[in-house]
Amino acid sequence: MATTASNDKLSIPEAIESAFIPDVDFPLPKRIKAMPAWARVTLILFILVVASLIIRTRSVGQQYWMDEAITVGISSHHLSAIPGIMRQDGSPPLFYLLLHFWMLMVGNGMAATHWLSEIFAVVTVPIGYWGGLKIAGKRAGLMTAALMASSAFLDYYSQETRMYALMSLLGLFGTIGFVRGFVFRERRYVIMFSLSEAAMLYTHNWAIFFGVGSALSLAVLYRISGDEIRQNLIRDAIYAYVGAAILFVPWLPNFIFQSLHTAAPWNTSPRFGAPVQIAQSVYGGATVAAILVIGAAVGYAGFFRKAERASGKAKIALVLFMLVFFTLLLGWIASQITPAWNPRYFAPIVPAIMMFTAIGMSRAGVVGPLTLAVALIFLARPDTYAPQHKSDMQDIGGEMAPLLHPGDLVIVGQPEQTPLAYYYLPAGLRFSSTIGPVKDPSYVNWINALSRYRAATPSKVVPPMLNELKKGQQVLYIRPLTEGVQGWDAPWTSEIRTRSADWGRIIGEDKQLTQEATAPHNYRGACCVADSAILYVKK
Amino acid sequence: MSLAKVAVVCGLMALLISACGIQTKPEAGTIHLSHYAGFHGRVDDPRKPQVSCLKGDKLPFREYYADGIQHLPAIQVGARAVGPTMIFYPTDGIAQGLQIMGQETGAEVIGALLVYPNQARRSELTKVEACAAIGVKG
Repeated sequence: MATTASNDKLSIPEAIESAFIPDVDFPLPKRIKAMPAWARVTLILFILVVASLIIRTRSVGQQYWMDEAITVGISSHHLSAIPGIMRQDGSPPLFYLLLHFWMLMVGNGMAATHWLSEIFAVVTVPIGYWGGLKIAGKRAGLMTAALMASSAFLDYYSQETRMYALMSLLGLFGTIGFVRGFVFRERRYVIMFSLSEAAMLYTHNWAIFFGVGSALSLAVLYRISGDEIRQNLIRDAIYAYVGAAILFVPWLPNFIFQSLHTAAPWNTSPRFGAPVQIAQSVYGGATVAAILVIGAAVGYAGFFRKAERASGKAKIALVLFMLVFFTLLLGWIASQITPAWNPRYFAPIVPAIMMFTAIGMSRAGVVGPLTLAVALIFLARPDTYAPQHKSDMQDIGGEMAPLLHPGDLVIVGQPEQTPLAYYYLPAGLRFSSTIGPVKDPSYVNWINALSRYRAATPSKVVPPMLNELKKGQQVLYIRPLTEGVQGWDAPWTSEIRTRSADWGRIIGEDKQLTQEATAPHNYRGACCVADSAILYVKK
Repeated sequence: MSLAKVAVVCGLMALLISACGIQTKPEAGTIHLSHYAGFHGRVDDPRKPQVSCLKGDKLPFREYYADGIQHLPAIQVGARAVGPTMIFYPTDGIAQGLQIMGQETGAEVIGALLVYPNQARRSELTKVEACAAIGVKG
């Protein structure tokens, strides 16, 4: 390790890198020890990538739930139409555009689209290694790669056609860029941070909390640092944030429109359960979280000594911690005003959490590898985190499709499940949700959705729809199973629960209709929302 | 490689790749919908594990759908009303509820199945019960 005297002559990166934890001399077989260091690392990364693929492809062909069907539905449109549709959806467009091109190549099957997220998740393993290596040395790099390869969060979202795996990958680049750029003071990493932040802004709205959280972390870093870090820090920060903002300008009008008109009425405001949610969704459960946190805490214990407190290593740890803390805090505060809180939105801070944990463990001597090994035993269980059954709409589609004819009407109790029903049912059907007739069932119009929903009185909307049916035409009523409590207490979902029953009663009591069939006949449960379906025919 | 060759290779690659793109959905009313690549619905037949189990035990059986609007998947082992009958309900709760509410008094509840012993021999019934129990937790 370099002495203080020699540290004075080093640049900031050199000074911090000179204090990296040295590699541990593991008792490896001679053949492996004889390999060059790069080959050993490549071999380990290869094993981690293969292991993560084995774990994360068990459910790759799994059926969609409604959010995935909406994503696929939007991305199926012509490229030029996607931004316009996104105005009605509420999300930024990057993942949808990437998925559009992906589907042109590999199709819109479930496994095909899940593979896009799979690729993003797999890439976090080598990038995690590189990031850990650049921030805290090889040992931290390998531990970060191991945590990214076994992350419960990525196990789940690598098999989901949503933007969260991409968001984690971008968050990883953003975190590496932020630490190397502002703690190590390397300008090219500031550019990387800025580009990552811009890409995140185009991927998910939690990028705003990540961006503001990073700015707050930067303010603290400025406050606690000496001139060597402060020099030009503000200028670089302005370049980074203004650069990201300029890149986001083309989407800004849509973002403002979405913010004003498309809230997330299905979410509820969070309380103080964030630590539990992180333990469950990011680490993979309380046991794994406890093991990893203990390993990291042992490594960080030294930073409580006065001599270490002002070191570059301590600043890295603090910056990573603050990045997570401020992002969550901002998300939490914002969600008290307009709900925007869900564990899946933690995607951008997952890498910072993993890196913070890995760096702590890399400093914990033998305790680090030991706790990591124990945690990996818990994490390397393919059936633990991957959703086994997301929905039962695929089965409903399979059972009902042979009974349907062109022109039949499909009514969906939960409007956002319309794209899911559309995906699994054949072409040529007419669709309606409990708001009213749906022109394009491949996506959801969220503009002022709650007020439109409340205005659509069932007794006025349903009868004309049924009266219009010709003799022999059928109506398929699909409504959500609302047996749980937690998901049905938000303003939107509580309306859906009531309305679905109202529509069910009106359709069921209509004397013109006769019940023909029901589905599903085999309900295995659902992680998200399941449905039941009744087919009626007009006499 | 010349620019023209690169263009030809890229063109062929694009054609090859785009052939894998989004398949058109078949229209409602088309027969054999499940044979179309663009149709994503799939019947999740609950009988699959029991069928392979019964085959493994070399028991004679036939698959059918129980009459009525519910169209429930079912398996008859051996002759009707003599061999055991397995009826598959959508959930465990429905099967339990039928017994609790006294609607199905002559059946054993095993998971989401109601197994009617009928006049089956003990050895045959034991095998059928074991097959019925596949995937049942608790």
